[in-house]
Amino acid sequence: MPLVVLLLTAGTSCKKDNQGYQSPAQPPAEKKWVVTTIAGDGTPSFTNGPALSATFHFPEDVAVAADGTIYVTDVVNRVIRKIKAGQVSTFAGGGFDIINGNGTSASFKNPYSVTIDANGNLYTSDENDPRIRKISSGADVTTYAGLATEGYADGDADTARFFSGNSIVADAQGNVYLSDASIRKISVSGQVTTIAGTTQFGSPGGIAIDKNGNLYVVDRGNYRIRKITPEGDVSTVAGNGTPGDKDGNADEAQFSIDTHDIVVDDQGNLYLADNNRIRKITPQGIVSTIAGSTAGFADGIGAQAKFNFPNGLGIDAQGNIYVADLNNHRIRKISFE
Amino acid sequence: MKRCFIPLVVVLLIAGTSCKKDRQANQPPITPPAEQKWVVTTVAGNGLAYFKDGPVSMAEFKFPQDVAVTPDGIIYVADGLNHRIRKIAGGQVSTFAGYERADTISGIGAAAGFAIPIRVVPDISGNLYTLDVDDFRVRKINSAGLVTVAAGSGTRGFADGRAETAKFGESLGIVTDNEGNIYVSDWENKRIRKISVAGEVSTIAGPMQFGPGEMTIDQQGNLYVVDGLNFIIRKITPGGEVSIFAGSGIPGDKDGNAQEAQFSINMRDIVADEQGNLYLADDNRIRKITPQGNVSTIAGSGFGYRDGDGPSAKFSSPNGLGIDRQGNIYVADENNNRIRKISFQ
Repeated sequence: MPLVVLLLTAGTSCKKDNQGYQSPAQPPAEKKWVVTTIAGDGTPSFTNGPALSATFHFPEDVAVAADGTIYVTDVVNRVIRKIKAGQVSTFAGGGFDIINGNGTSASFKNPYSVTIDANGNLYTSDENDPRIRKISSGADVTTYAGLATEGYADGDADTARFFSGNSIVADAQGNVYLSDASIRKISVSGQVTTIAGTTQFGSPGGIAIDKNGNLYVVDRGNYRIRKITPEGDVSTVAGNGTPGDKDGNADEAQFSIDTHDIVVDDQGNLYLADNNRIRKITPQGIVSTIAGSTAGFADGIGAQAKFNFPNGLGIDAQGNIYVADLNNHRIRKISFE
Repeated sequence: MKRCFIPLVVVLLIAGTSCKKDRQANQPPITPPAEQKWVVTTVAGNGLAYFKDGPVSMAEFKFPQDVAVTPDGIIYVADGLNHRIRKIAGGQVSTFAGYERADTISGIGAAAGFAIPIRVVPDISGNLYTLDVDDFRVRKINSAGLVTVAAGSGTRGFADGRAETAKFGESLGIVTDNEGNIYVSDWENKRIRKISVAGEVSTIAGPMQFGPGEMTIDQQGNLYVVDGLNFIIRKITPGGEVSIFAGSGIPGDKDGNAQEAQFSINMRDIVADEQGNLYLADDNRIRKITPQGNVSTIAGSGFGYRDGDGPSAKFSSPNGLGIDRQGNIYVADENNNRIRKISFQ
């Protein structure tokens, strides 16, 4: 709140009460975006244990459960890692193939995007396989949808076809939405449909869903953030259509040609991993840069912090943002405090 | 590349002397060692313009544009119309980076995208750098397959400065030096650009009369640039002095010394070996230019596909070249959809 206003308010209180000296109310310290590291020592490797000395090998994405447990797709190690109570462990995976089973008996090729529903089920996509997998909170890995062969086909989840390496997001019920060449939906009832087609997007990328069922898609080819209502209406949230890094109003702001994941908080603010920076887009489409500048590694406040290829994002119930900081082999956290 | 040969004349003299000495018995003459020559073989590709990973003889490429060999001997291919960088190792072809659609996104392996990758070159640490037709940036691929941006904001244009905000035009050539600096032939801006290890982009030569084409570098840091519209090869010293290194300026196919030799109207990629010999893909032939500027033709005899002796071998639009530490030359044989190899053996 501007300092001036507060002092006036304090002054008014003084006049009203007139009982004696009242110290003026302190303006609250201005809140800032603070970036910290919560896991990974930066070495590309595969070590479990205490979070800050654990290692990852190219963490691609991160998802946060309601209880604060964090899950990470560790693409070169081909596993799903879990961070809980300050410890990193392997949640699922261990070979190189698509094998269902429990925990480390199951296998992934190159786990890519990860998302979580309200019951704690994880869903993952894979860079080298088109199938969407589901991992229960007990680590049972099954195939949720898709055939092993790439392609495009709607219908029953078992025989539907996707391409590999899609960004995915789950709603609270466990419906899963994919940014494929078009925007697809895998319903809990086991049906795959296309909810927005290829002509409406140029290279859809990261995808998020808010509590009202609106989808937000990074339209990479058009340098815009798009919104799809539950009725299927597509509109532009922000982006002037040309690549760049300008902050500002919805129709002035720019996004780079290297945009990755997007998440949404309970107020409808969007957060986007964009070329070593984290951008924020308000529901009115006002774009700002909340953290990061050029590639590097530094914890700190806002633009003083550095990321090296922030790829996947997660968000917890308090609105803290988690970053799979790919080339730093670390999981970072951004809090407004 | 080592060249060890005994001139034929000397050997025959030795054989003759032995015969005279041992007149008493019938001694077979000593066989002279086979003369070394350039031999062309096929490394990978079955010739069909599709996409298939697997054993090299069955793999498929789709108009491969360039080839690079990292210090460990692994071969990488800018597989243009497959939008991918392919990898050849242990008799197998696999996909190193990129996926089935044209894209420009950064990421690891199949999470990254390329539009039409046209150039791939190694550095001494085993990283690769690429140029891509629809993407006005230089990208880097590390040995783990992570694709990131080395330089360029993505907007087409001309701007020096920090790598993240610099701008490039359509670029045709790229090479790295022993310190890790990257040089780019910015054809559209008619300049040679440099991306320093510290991440600064500068202009080191130009504007030139015509846009510079493909480019290579020798161990002393001299750049050799194809000037295809003048039918010559230019040399740029580390100090920035530009001169004509070879080529009479008249198009043709004549071999000879630097001033007489001719290059075709279709000069393509160029690489250098550790002795400073240059190899140029020149209209279905591979030419060699010595450090003294003497030009010869080591392989190729017209459009087609044939392995064997250099002079009888055939290529179909050899577009990109790579070279390994032993001096073997690799060819992205674009219209044959194959990777070829030329060895002196």
